[in-house]
Amino acid sequence: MIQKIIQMVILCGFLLPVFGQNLDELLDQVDLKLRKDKRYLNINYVVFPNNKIGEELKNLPRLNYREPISFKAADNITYNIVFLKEAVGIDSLVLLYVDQITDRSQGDNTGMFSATGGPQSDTVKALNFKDLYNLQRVRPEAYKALLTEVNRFIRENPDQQPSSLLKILPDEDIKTSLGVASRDNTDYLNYMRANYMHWYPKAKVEKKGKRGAAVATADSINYRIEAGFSRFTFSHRSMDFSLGGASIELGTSEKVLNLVPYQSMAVTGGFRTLVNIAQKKEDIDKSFIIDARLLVRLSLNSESMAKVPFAMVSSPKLMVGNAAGLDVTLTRPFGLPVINLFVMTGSEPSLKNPPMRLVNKDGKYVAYYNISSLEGSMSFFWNTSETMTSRFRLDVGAGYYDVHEAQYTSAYSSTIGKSLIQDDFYPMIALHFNFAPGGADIFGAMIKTLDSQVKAEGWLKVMELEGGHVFRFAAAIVSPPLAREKRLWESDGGALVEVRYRYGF
Amino acid sequence: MRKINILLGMVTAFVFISGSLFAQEKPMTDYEKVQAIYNSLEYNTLAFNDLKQKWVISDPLLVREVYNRFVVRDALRHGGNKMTLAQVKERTESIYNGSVVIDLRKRYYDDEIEYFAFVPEDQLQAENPNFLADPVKDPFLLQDIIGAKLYEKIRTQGYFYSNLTKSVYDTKNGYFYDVYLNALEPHVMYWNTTSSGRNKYLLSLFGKWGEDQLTLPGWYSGEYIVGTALTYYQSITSDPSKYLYDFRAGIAVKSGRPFLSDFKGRQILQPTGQAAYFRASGDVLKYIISGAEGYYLNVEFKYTVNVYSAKEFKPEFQDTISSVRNFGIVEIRKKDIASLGDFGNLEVGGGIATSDYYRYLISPTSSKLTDIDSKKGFVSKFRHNVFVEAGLSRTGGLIQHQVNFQLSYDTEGFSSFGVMGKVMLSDQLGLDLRVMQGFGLDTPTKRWRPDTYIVFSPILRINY
Repeated sequence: MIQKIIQMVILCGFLLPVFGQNLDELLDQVDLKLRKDKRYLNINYVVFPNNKIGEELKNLPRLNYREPISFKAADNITYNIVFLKEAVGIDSLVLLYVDQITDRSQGDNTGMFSATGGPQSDTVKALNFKDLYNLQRVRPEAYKALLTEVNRFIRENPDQQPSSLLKILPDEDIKTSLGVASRDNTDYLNYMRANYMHWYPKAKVEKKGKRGAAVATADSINYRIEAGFSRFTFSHRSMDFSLGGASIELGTSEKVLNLVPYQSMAVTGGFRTLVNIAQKKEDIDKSFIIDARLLVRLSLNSESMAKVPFAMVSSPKLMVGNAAGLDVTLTRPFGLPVINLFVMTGSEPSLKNPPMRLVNKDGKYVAYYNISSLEGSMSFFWNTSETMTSRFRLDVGAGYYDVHEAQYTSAYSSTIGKSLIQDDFYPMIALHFNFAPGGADIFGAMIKTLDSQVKAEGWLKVMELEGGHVFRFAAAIVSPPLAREKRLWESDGGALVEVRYRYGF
Repeated sequence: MRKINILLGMVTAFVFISGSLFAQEKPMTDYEKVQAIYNSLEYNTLAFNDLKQKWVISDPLLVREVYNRFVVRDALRHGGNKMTLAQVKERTESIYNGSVVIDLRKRYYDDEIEYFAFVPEDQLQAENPNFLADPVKDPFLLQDIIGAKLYEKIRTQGYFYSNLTKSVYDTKNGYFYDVYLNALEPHVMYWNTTSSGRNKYLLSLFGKWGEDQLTLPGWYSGEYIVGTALTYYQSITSDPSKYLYDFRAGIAVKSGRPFLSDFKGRQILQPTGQAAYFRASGDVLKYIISGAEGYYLNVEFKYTVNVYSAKEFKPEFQDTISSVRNFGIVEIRKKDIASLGDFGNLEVGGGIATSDYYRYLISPTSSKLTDIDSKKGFVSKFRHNVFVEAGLSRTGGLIQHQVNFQLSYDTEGFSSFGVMGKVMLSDQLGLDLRVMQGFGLDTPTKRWRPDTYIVFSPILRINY
């Protein structure tokens, strides 16, 4: 009778949950999370050494009608003990589950269904969290054996983190909200490499040799070229020198005047030299850079020059004279921002039979021309995030240009007088933007205002052929004067579109 | 016996005292211990809770659908316990009424739902809302309850929902460079250094168009002051107005004016000579008067040293030009008098100003400017005014603003009321708007001073 009662009690004991209902449910929820969450669990594991498997790890009870399990000391079987090492509110290490991993490439692989192409290992949950929680109560010596091994690993490897199961990468996803501005030349170089018509050196990328030795890559590009409808630049390796390099250019743009390329009816040739003053040539990111262009402008004074099909401009009204110029950029001298200086000055153009003939408000026959222009500015760079995908540059400074009036008889054969009618300085602001996802330059734009006119330029990368041949679609637009009346020598603005080819940049 | 009593008394007292001194926290139950483990499994992103993607499902039919899955799975819990049938029925009434929404939040580094709660609509903003049922804080438990397909639908937000994700608009004052483009008072900080590792000396270029304290805001003046400034911060701060001192020196140059048609029939004040400008400002009264911290003393003046020749103005016919050649202003301003919450901090100021007024005759036939009021002495050309200001300013957050109300009265009966406001978004883009209304204008003054002044300028600030 007593035996039957005992049997009934044991049977009831098996049928009832081991823990209280709420706790039992919670333990199942923990197990569900441990099974399903593959990315966010901040937990670790250590491998239980085979030679430590003792009698206390035999015949371990498991819940939910699963057979007891015994740890096996076999070469092709390993046990990963997964644990929670530290967390807010947890004051001691907690074992979470034990995975049994069987390497099928070793041991029993001679059968008909031995794996050849599939996974080479089987992972089964030897003990889940609920089992371990129960083990702590019914077989404390087994739980302690597992815990001791984890603690031993941590104690003996203070500088080595146990293997982690965390799959998110917080270190690579650190966000900032205020953007960044580099304290060295990085932003400046990023901008110039993407937008400038002349070449800028890049830091050499070291490639690993066959035995891991660093091998400096030889620069295989012999020349660099940018060619478009409005400008052309070229440099050859032979023009590089120890402190930098040189290149040449030919173009139809005016830096200061609010004119579309070709509208000035002049061509400008130039020689550019880049001097990189640093202890090591490779340290261009931190060096003091002088980028200077010596320019010579040749006045052609032919209205037909502005009638190229890709330039949508009204008839030019302002001539420019033959001139020489200097355009210099200095990177952060004495801790100042990047400094840009430009000066162009020379002689008056040929005034006999000017291509444009105007009548001023006094009814006199006149023509207008420019001799000198100046511009000075400081450049500031910033990025909206540390990924440097959206890059900005702001130039703040002042510009100057003069305008002269030549008065004529009605035949325009000779001048009867000349006067300087404008020689003012104006504030200048230019905002530049570059879009470079993953460091690849895709798009660039610039908007500049000087003397109440807006000049905008932009380019879009169209394609890149194998070998580094890049094609860009580019455009330049000049607006008519805004918020003031148009002067007699000013046109209604215009636009130019072109395709640019770049190689070696 | 007496000794034993004393001993017992001491032991009793020790037990009482030690009980209160060394009281332990209530030990955790097994359930609480496991709950703590459960809550600690994920990578902790507590610091980002307010920035995580948050939204609310208010579509009544979708809320019913989700709620019903909880009922079917018997997964509604209250205080960790299963709900009785009566409790479920009672809560379902709220579902029928459509007054329950689902409050959701995603994890920071991936897209899984880390917080899910049925909340009565009127409890959504409560600090401790009365949930319809215990919130679910595990995406995989939620998936287990409502099914993978419905979970995916909720996660991908393919339905009507209200986004409540907070955006970050931090503003901090940077000291690497500061480009503040405002046509009325621009500055470009281009160099900085420190002498103690905590302070900052800043060098800037600045511009200034108009003088508010003289009721002459920019646009209405044909001169622009440009110069350089030295600003010293005793310790770096997020509020750029909290410098210790700021010195400025500059010159006045001729300026153009936009929208010229607005000025037709009225003379613009012109610079009529080379002028020097100085301004000193600082929180320096505390060194003179004990307790006078935060009282900023501003002193500024302009002095014109010579008279231009007539050809500077290229006159085409005989005309009269007006000029304020010299002025001086002394002001005391107390900042941060009181915090008015989101409206900002209260500040008040007041001072005296003096300015002269010249009229010159210019003619194409004369090389000199002729002073029409030459019979008046230098001093008698000055008029003096007192002014008071009160305003609110706020730094940080999404919107920064500075609003000042000004009253001014001068010795010749002219008075004015002005509002000067600046509003900026994230301390990057903004608008500066100044409106002033004058009263008591006499006829000669009306030639160069309008009744109403309205000036504005967009603002762009890049500060790192």
